[in-house]
Amino acid sequence: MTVLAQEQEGGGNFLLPNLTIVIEVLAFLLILYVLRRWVWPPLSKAMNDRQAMVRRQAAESTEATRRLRQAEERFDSALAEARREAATIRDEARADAKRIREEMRVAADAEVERIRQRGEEQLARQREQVTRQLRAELGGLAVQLAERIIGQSLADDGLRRATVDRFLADLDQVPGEPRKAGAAGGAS
Amino acid sequence: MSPAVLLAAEGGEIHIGKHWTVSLLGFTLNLDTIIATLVAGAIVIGLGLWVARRASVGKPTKLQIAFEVTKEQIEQQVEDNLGIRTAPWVVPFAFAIALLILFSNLLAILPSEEWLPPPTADVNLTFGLSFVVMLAVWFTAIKRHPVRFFAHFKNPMAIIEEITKPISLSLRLFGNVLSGVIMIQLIILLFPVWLFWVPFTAWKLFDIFIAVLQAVIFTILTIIYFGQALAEESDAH
Repeated sequence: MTVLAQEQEGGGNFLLPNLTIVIEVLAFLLILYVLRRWVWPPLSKAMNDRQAMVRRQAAESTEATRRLRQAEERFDSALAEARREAATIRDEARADAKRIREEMRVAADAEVERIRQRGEEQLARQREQVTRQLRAELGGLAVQLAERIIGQSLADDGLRRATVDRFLADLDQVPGEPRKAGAAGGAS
Repeated sequence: MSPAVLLAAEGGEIHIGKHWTVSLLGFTLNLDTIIATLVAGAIVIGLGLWVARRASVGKPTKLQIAFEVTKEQIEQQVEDNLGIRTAPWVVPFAFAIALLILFSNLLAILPSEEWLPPPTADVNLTFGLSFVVMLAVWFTAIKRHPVRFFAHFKNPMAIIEEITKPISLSLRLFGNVLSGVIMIQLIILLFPVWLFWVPFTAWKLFDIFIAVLQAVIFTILTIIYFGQALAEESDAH
């Protein structure tokens, strides 16, 4: 084997290749092999993974948008439902308040009426009692007074009672006095 | 070591196609091209492995993003021209071609034209790549539609086309990169020392554009050739 370093002064045609072309082809094939074997797979994998990631993120974004829209629709629906329910409750409350107020007013009126009737009855009873007491006492007093005035005894019970009754009857005739007790006494 | 493509010191001449060579068993090897190819390949493999080791789904580095954008663009081109499912291995194939050509071209921006020229300024790399491309295209076409592939050679123009495809593919890349190298040497030759750095820097920046553009063109044409070979309708030229 002869190896000789020299300068080629273009002795041959520089447009024609020499044995260097074989070395060049082998060098290219070596580069191609290395790139294909060790560079291409990880590069392709990274790009494919990135594309998958982008697709996944796009899908997730679409899904998130859809979920957001659904949530907003549910929120709006719930809000409308709550408003409807609140309106219903408010109306019911107003109706209840009106009903309760009416019931209380009726109850109060009934109570007032009852108390008033009881008072009237009580007053009537007291009046009747007083009338009875007065009737008993006033008869005696009137007789005594009359005896003093006329100077004689009214011994006759029948006469005396008739006099008292007549007096009381006259007393009942006084204007503005209730007739009930007097009438009862007068009729006897 | 004297310049690879330039002999400007004496006589102000520019020599094109001059390489630092070794002779192996009677065959000539362009040592500068081989070393430059290995450097570009090492950069490609190094960056590729660095990206592969740190490949992240959530927090990709800028380099990973650059690799991914390149991969996506190639996938899109393959999908548009022949469909990824038709020949999915075309994508990493074109990916490797694109990266190797890109970083080979980008070696032109280094001020190392004399001892480390861009390997794409040598036909050995460009012809080698186009040779591999056309072999792969023909292999794929024969594998999928053998009858149709051989039938379309009944047209002599198809034979010429299949020959000119790899030649134009390789010479386009070679010519563009080599012209950049020649331009740099011309700038060094024609401008005074205190001024040459202005056009020198401008052309180095332009070389970046050329490097990307030529890598894109070579890769897209590769994919288009695959698409033509796998097209449902046979092209009768």
